[in-house]
Amino acid sequence: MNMHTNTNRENTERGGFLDFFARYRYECALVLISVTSASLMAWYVSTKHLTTALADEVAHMIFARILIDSMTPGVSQLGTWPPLLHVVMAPFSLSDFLFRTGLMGAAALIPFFAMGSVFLYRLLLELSGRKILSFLGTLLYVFNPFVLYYASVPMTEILFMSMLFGTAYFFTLWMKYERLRYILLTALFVTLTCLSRYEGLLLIPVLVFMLWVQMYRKKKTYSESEALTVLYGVLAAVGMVLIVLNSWAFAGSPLAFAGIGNGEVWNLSINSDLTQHSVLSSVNFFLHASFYMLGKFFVPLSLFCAILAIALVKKKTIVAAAFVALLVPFAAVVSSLYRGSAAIYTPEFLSYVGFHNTRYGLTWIGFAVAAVTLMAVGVREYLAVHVRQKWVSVLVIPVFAIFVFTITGVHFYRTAFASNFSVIRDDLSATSRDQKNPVAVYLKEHYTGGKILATRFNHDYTLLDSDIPLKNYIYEGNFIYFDEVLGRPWLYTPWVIMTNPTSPDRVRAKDPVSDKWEGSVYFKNFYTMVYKTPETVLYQLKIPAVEKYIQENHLNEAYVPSLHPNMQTWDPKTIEQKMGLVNNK
Amino acid sequence: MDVQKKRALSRKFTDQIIYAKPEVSVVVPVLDERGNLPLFLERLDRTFENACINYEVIFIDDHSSDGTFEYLEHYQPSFPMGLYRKKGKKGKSYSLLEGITHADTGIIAMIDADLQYPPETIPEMIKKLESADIVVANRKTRTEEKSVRSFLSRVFRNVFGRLLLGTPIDVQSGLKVFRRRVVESVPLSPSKWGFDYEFLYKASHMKWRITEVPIHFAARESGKSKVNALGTGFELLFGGIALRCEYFLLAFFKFLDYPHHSERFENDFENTKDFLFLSDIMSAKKHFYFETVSLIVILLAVFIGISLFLSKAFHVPLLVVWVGISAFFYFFILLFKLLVVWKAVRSDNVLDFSREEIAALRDEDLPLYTVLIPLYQESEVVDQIVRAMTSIDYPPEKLEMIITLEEYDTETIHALENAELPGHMKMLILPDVKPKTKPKALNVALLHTRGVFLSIYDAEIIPDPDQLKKAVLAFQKKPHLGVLQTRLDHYNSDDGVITRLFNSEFSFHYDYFLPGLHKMGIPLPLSGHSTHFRVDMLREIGGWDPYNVTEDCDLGIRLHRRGFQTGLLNSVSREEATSTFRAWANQRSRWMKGFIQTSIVHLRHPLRFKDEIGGWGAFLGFLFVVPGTVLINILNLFFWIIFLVWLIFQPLFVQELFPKVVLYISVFTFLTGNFVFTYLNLLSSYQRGRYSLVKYNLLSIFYWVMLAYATTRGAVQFITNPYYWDKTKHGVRSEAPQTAPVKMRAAENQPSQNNPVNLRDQI
Repeated sequence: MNMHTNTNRENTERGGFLDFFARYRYECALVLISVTSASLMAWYVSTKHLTTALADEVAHMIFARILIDSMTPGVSQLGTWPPLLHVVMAPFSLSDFLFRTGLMGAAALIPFFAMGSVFLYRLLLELSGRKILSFLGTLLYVFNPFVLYYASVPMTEILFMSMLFGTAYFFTLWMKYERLRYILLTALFVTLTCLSRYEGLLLIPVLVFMLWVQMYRKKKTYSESEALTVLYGVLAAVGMVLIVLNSWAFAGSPLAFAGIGNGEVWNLSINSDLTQHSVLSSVNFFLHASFYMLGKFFVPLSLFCAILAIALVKKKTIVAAAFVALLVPFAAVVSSLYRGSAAIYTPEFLSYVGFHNTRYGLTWIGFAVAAVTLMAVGVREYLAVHVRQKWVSVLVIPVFAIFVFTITGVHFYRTAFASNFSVIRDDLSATSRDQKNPVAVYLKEHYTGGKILATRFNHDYTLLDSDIPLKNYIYEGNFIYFDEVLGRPWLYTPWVIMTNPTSPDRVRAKDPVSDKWEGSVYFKNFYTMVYKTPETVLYQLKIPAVEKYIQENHLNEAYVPSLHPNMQTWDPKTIEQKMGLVNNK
Repeated sequence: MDVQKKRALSRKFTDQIIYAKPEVSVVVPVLDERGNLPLFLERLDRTFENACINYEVIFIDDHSSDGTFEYLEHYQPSFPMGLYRKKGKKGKSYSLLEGITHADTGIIAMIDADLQYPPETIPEMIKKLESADIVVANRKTRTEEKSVRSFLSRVFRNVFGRLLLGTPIDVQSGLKVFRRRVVESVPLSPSKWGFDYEFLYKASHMKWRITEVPIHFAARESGKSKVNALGTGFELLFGGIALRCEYFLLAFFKFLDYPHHSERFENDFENTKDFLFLSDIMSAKKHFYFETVSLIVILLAVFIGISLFLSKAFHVPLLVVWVGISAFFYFFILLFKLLVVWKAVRSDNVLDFSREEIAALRDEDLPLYTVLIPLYQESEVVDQIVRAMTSIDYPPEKLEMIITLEEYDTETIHALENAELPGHMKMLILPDVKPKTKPKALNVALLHTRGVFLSIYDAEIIPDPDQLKKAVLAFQKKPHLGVLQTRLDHYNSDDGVITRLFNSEFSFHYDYFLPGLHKMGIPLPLSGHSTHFRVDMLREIGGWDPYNVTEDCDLGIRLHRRGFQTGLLNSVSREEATSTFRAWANQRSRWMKGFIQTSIVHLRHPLRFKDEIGGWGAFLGFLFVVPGTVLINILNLFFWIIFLVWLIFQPLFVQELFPKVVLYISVFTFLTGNFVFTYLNLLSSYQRGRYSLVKYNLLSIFYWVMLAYATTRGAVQFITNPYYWDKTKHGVRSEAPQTAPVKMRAAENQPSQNNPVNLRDQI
């Protein structure tokens, strides 16, 4: 009897499980394909030492790790970059293997990549009503080499695009069905998009505009439109408010995240004047970046398809709204280029630099894929109505699909295999990772404890490769600790890392340690230079000099952190008092 | 008519004897008493025949092996006998308890079948019940049996009874007569032989009156005693010591001791002194019983102990510990409220009926419905009341409307007299006794109601016309429901910022909070009007507490304690929102004062309360909803002041109050809590179709500051003027709408099952 009951239950459960797969077979297939292809790409990229090739990749990893592994862990370590990536990577950063290899990015991002693929599929399905075409269209996204690359490294692009697809999907649902939950989910995804990349901020006003257009079309009252705008706006703005509050609290200015305040240094460093105040140049730079990211044929094809799709599809308003949402990153990046707060380089413009920020050109891939898919649907529907020969409308889709997938395949091969991701390797901020950072290697071999003073912004690679817990570093994100130590480093840290004075000004300008002590004779009384590379100089403490200093200043040697490496954490005020430093001031 | 005649009459109609309804139940535990039974039955029957008392005898056989059960079974048709084989544990105490559950009368006698106790004494003992609640047969004289047993019995009576339990009564006497309500009121968990002393000791502790009747304790005629002198003696001794220790501890930890002696009697509906039908302990009449004081002392001691421990453990000042505890409290309240909202969104527990279902109700099938309208100095809204009440869609001949009025409120009385009330609206002038509160008025009216169902409408209420019919349908469809809570709304929500925010608060409360609490099985704080009751249930729970200034909240909790279920009905009543800060603060202070009263009343015996409302989940829910609301509002005031001080002056001591973990939790709770609940207010207004109100909800944070002020004021008033009923002035708005002006989704669409109002479907 029991056996019979159990068997029934098992059958029911299995039935439910199979039912789920049967019902969501395309979604399940996409998840499977996304996870598998991104995992393979993660493996491939790591064998090519490209997982941590970009400076930003390492910076993101460090940001995620110091949320937990820091002298002052917690929210204060989020920095002024959009924090979502760091938060989702933080749990994975606890694994030393994932952290040192950079695979924490893949571990955290592949699920989001799969989620984004499903959102894109569902969006295309809502717009086209064709499952197979939507599935194929999504595969164009999934098999883009850069999409796979950014799904397997610690960068924000995939997170941003996944959230953007979620936004577009739920907004489309709201446009179609006008249920409150969809606008609330749209707002939630806008917030998540903003927390992924700042380009998402533009979504807030754009969707407000489209919301009003839709309410006007549906002849809703002013008060209802206003109420819905408030509901949408308040939730959608949460991400922005969090960013502003975070900037205010930890960077001293509510607009620090936008680079306002230190914008001059930044602008100097990026040669943004190439696109500044020129719409055409901005669009031109963006399109060139897109050629590398999406493929030279795919970009014009998708632009052409977009126009045709709008002309052919039935639900024009809804399709147009989805296009607008998916085009937001394009507008945001072009706007940044125009304002001069961002820069894109490709060899066509600055051949001596190579590439820089070309990845910005990837973020509108959702629009490109949607345009191609919807054009195919539109053409098929048009032919089915207007052409008598049935085979024409039946054949046109496979032929078109083969054409598009061939383009994608060629792009994939050329990018990932023929050129070995030259766009990444030749990036301005890329570093060859064939060898570990030599300063880190030296430090690792000679380190016997105690704190290390460094400006994290300039020395992420050293922090990553040294295998020393990050809580043993004192960096600018430790705020009062950093400020205190910077005044008299010899009392606190046996090691100091500085930017090499031969580095360009724009690099040295970002290193307060170098700025304060580089070239100082007084500093050199206490420290010996032990290792030097063209970028970095490593100093080690002269213990007798510090002991002499302690004697001269009648300090309590027992409480001097630099002489007692086991003192892991201290409170600056207390330690000053205990050392007797307060009385000496 | 004597017993023989009654029996003869019964025999005429049937072969099987049918006995008249018994007046006394005699519970007899038996174990191997076959030899004594013929004489016992004969003497017992003769005794009651002679005394002309209808009786039933209930035998509980503890699995006899000498044919006792078979003998009784054979003679069962000849006597008014109930015969049961023991189901529970072996032992006389358990036989008695089991027998009592089968007893069907108000008077219960218990006697052994060994004839050592004379059954002939029972009628005399029954007579003694006129001046007592328990009558014990006192073994004054005895025919000596074995010297050891006799000796032990005397020792036991003197040492155990007098010294240990402090009573001269024959505590182990096997013959007792008592009222059924006595044994029902005493919580018993006896050992094998411990029923007698435990019952008598606990009953005397509850102030039940105990008296004795002297008897002669005879020797056994047949069979053997089941008492093992030494073993039973030790069992009783240790049981007695344990009982005494228990009560010694309970004297200090009074809050663990229940029931209270004032609960001996169920609902005194003849009390015309103050119309408090409940026992004192269940009322706010007196706030600080020893129970409350001892609980507060213990809790304070524990709280201070924990605070000192944490202070030492973390090397921080006491104030920082308290701030930390408050931060965690806020955090848990936030989680709880989010859970409630989540449950509400996923629930479909609001009852709704289609137009067709309502139309299908035939007038002749409708039950008599009573509507109570308590008025006080509300002459200006008389016309509105008449208009609103006469627009209710219910046949007037099935409707009883009672308007309660104070004798000296001549203005309202005159206004009503001039208003030409319809025939089914009656005025009830209240007796001039204190307290002068709405619940007292309702209690007086309850004595005059004839309806099957009852609802209350305040002076300014405009209910949906079909509300009563919906309620009838709900009660019919869900017979287990004792009360129905409708949804409240304001018809003057656009009067000002306060009314707008007040309305949003109502939207959240009735559309999210109550459905969520309902789904989680947490007792609902009912609203003061537009709730619908079964009248018999109201009588069973003793009506309202005239001393509680939120009698509605108290009633909701009490109903839950007594196992009555509350349903949520999709019908809207519109009331007037207080539109000035002063009126709003007065009303809110009263509500919060009432919440404090309700908390004190129900937490007098916290563990009992926990058991009665359904375990720890519901108990914690109550703590969060009722006392938690008060506490959080008062803490809010404190923290808002601290926040402002920090914002303006940024003093160091404020920063030191918030060490890292506390700061994290506080900031998270502050940001998340304020955001989430502001947003839920926005949503609530939107879903009710109050689009113009949505944006005003962005000011919710200021409303919560007002709440903090009003609650603190209410807490102070609880100490200075606990029973003062700060009457909310109605009729401030010059004219109430004839029909509902608001476009509430539920009302607008005339909800049906195809168009339900549950949140899950709305969002």
